Amino acid sequence: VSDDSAILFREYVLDAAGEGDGALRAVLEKACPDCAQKLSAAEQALAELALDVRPRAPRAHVRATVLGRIAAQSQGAQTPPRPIAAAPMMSTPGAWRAPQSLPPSSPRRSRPWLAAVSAAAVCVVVMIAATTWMSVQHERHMVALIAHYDGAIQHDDSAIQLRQAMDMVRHAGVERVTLAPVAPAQVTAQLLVDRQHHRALIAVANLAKLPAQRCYVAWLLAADGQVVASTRCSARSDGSADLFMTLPEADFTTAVITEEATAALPVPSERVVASGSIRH
Amino acid sequence: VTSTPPAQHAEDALLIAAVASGDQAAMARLYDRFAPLVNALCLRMLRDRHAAEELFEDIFVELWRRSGQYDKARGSVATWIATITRSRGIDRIRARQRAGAVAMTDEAEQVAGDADPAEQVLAADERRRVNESLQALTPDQRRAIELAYFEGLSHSEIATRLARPLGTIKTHIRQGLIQLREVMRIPSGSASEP
Repeated sequence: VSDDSAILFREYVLDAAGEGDGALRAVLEKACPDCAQKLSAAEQALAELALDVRPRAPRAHVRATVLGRIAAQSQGAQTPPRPIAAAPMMSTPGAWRAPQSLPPSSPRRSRPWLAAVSAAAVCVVVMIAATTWMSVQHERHMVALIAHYDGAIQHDDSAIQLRQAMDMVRHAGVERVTLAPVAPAQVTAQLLVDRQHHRALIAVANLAKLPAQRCYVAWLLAADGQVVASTRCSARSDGSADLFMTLPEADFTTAVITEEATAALPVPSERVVASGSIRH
Repeated sequence: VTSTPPAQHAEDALLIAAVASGDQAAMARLYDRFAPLVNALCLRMLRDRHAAEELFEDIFVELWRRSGQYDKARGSVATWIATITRSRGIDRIRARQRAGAVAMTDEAEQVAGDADPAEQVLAADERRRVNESLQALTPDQRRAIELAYFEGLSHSEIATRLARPLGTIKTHIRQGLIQLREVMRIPSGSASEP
């Protein structure tokens, strides 16, 4: 794993740097510090490519501009906050003192615009709260999935699968559907659909180990029950499995995981492990 | 630059620590040491002098703010700064692509040709080591890796740019990275490198 994953992380850095990586790193640092360290190591290693670029001095005036901006920022950070109402708190021009008390408020006047502004502010706060909640939920799922793939790093020698899974997890436009377990009840399964890249992944955990000649199969079914895509795999030793599929052209409304004989017909049997509906 | 690389790395770490403590004179020294590297990277990535200069200024302001985040255990100051520069550069490239900006020019390559050796900020043997390793790559491998690293292109975009099959590009990049394994060593602290 170590040799492959070092190259894998470098491939990842080459393919995926940019503003989205901050979020990925934050999630990785919570869920998989070792992964975050490897990612950072890969970035540092690849940064040596930059050392091959011939140094080129900037134009002379830029130095003063940069250092001026820094000095201004530094000065701004040390400047005391401006008082709320200047007049009663300024004893001498230019000298700032902390306010002893707020100035007396003026008699209340009718402000018809105030209600509208307040309503708009409340709406904004509600929207921010809702967005934050959704973001937290999304991150919680991401943490769980990345923890799952951390397990894959430890137990699976397929670095390519890990890369594909990480790519899908981090992709902003991915749809996520939780499949309901049927048997065994402790199975957890999530379907990730990346329509932009025409791919899907079902990440499953807590699967039972199957005897030889049997395997797990993921099916995507149309509304009329016709199979539009399927793929098969075995569970890893820790009970996890990743079922990757290329998204079919045809619409599908249901995802099902079944247990099948390896030589079974290309239709799902009754031995359903988990299933879920996809909304469009 | 007369210091040996390890000594220079230690000096750089002290310099960034001084910057983190709010020492503006240290910031000026950091600027003098790394401005040529950052400027070259900005030009290499954005290929537009005006845009590169804007990015360059923003990066140094960011370095002033983020100097406390530098972790010596994760690598040299030079590679840390290069990583930040590359990341911000790619953000700008993608923002420009989203805005449908005009195609890049090759201005950067023109101006990069007349670099003054005296401006070289990195130890000569370190540059030579990287350069020799890059020479070991095939032209296709090198081109693919450079497009990914400096322009932030995805494998698919590189395939389109170079008019090659996606699988071929992936192979070039993977083989190139394997080839570069020795030079692009994992810094101490990582358990993943053989």
